[in-house]
Amino acid sequence: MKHIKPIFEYDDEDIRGLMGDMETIGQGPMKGWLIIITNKHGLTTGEIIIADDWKEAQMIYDKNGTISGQGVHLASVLAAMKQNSSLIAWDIIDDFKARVYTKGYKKWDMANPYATVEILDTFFSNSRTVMSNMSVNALMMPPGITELKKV
Amino acid sequence: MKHLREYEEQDIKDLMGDMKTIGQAPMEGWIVSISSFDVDNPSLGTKYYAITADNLKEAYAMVSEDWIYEEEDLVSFVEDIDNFTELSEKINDSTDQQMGFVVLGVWEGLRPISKESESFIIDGINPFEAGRILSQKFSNAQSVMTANPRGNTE
Repeated sequence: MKHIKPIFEYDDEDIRGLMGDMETIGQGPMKGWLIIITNKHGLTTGEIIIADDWKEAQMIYDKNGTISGQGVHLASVLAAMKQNSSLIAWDIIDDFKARVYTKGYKKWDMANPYATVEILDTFFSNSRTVMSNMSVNALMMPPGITELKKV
Repeated sequence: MKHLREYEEQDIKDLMGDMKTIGQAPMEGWIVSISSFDVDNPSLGTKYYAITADNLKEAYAMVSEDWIYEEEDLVSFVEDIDNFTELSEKINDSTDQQMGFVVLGVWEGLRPISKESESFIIDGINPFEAGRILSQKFSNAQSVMTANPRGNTE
């Protein structure tokens, strides 16, 4: 136990340093992606994926997502669907840092901004920065909305 | 005259009723989530109407004003309208389905901050920003939308 101290002896700086060290050896928090699709009926859905990298994220999406069975070229598939008017618009937003240490997928209807904020804040530590620098305080959502389908 | 804390819910309702009878009713508020469409310019995401008005007909007229460009009597345009979905259908028909909007959800019972009639369209692609603005428009926006996450259909 030469290098390991009881947990209460670590201060915040030690823990941040340790987290940084973990990231340098590829053991940092998992990454997240948000896929936004507005379908031809005008309904906008949000889908988040938590994975180690984009390739793995696409594989998770391929099994669970709205547009499944298309392989790992999601952007191309979405672009083609827009081209043939199967959907109105789409976007893939990356750079999210996951709060959870499990890979997963979740889909929801984006008609309510407070629900969307709750979901993004639950699963990502930097969602406000990624989406904008704005913030919403003291959210209250019914239980169940933040359940993640583990994969 | 009682202390404010001595008023019960029913007292407050009666007082509001009295205010209405003398033409001093508080403004009403609605949030309508929509998907706007323009065949030449498709857009991503939900948008929100944040409407403060004296009554529903005025709310319909203010929404119509954004879409009806011809010199049309807005009062008669909304005369036979009973809900926001009907309104969207009439507006879409008036543009030959070239542009307009689909109603996704309607929330009523909002308490407006503004003391005057107003209508805003808020882009919802950034939910943090949309929530912040809606909370600026209505003091109870978050609790109303949280209690009924999808809103009413009309």
